[in-house]
Amino acid sequence: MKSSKINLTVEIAGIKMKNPVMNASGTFGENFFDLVNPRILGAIVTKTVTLKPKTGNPPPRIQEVNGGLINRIGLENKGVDHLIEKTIPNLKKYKVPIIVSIFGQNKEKFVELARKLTSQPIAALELNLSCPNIGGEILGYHALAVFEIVSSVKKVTSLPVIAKLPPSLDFSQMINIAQIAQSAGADILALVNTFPALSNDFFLGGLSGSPIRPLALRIVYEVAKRVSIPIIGMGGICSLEDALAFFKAGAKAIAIGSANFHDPLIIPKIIKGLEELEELSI
Amino acid sequence: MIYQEKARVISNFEISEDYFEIILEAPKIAKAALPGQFVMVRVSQGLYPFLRRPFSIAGKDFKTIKLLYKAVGTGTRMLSQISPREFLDITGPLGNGFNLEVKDNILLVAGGIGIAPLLFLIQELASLNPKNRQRIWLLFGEETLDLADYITNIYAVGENPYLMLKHIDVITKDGSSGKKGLVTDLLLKKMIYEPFKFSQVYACGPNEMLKKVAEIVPGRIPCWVSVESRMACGLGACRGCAISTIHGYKRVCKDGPIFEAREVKWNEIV
Repeated sequence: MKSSKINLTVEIAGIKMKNPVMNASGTFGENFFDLVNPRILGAIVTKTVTLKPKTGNPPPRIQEVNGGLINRIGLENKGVDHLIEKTIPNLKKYKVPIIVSIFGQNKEKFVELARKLTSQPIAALELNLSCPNIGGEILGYHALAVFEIVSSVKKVTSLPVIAKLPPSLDFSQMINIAQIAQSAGADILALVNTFPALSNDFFLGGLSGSPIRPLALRIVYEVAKRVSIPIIGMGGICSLEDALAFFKAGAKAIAIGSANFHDPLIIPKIIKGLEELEELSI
Repeated sequence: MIYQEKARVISNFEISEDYFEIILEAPKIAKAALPGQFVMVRVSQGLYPFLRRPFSIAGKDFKTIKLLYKAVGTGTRMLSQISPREFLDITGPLGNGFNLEVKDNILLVAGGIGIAPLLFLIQELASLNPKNRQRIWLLFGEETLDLADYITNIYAVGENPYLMLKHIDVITKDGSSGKKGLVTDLLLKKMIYEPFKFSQVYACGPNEMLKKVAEIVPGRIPCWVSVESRMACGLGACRGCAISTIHGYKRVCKDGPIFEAREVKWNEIV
């Protein structure tokens, strides 16, 4: 019978976390706090914010498929000013490292967001280079865009910068983009965002949840071998067993997203599961 | 305050083909629940189906809540197979509730399974003030005779005189209840022939019906509708359940499910 929990504290790129578990952007917040005390998270990640408020896509925005879901939310958010005035002060109460996810249509917008946020009491910036739902190209598939955005943001902030990349099953492309993000100065990689998909009803958007886990895990595994910066692994983690596989594949931390919809208590369950292990080598 | 409970199934009873009433033991949710609110139910132990299903609370007792549902898809069909004494993970109570301030006569308009939240509304209004039973007019419409007997049993001839309503009108599309047509036909008649009788209207049913309700009820009469949406988190975080209103997109799970009928942009929905 275990008498004590193991020490799960980790530090990645200067972010000190009490455990290596966070939520994925856009899947946690609001009424979840009645059920899950945000204090237990290693870090909390905000919904992606843009310079100006964004209304998002017209409904319907989600469709359940194959043990997961396709979403086309479209980055609905109240804009960075609202985040600074309301969201960050609210989250500060919980004394958990806050990671702010940002998106701009071009390098200039990313830089302006970084300038606005650099002196905020937050732990890191996550660059959303991978949303499939806002029309136009997915920035994270274009090496030059990734390099320019990451390096430009790094010039205006000393906050750790996380590059959240889209999935590619062309591993030479995936590794190339990951390495370019690293050489541009990214401190951490977040792998991966949702997979572009289409339902039988022709509902188009990003697929998440359990169907993508073996694909996301493979990507983490392939990239971890070829970069030296830490990776936050995510994509269909629905259980302790899933989480452990991502650590084994090389992730230094994990994010849980769609599984929160399936079970709002999944994050505390996974943290507790990690605490009850004999040991955890990350 | 929102709770997650492992609710024991007390009963799961087929009212008529494909229509079910399930009673769940969930004391925390029951205590906090208000009419108009809903719960998210995980219908299976495994990862399929992935998303939980939202159901309006149709009534409550000291430790239990009642849900009504139609077995139309994967999730609801699985729910219909669950036996008493099994457990379901449920989250709630979620969403805003109906306005419970009733001073005068009120009109309830229900289409099919949309009766569910209005049953809870009736129960609560009756318990707040027994006089409310005389103030409630219920118009109920459905395709064919499915739920009408169940409803009139509760409210017209039921064992519980506390719940008896004086004024219930039933109509069916195929005429199997006697009157033939849509519940909105009944609503239109009420608004034309008794335009000043009702101080508020409450409605729940298919979107096509709610759109008509919003068009028929004059602007001077507050009109509260309970709307449906696909939901992922049910907790206000993912914004998957957005509905278009005159104030922009609102979340059905947190800003709703009750909206003023004329605030919703029905043309974008139906």
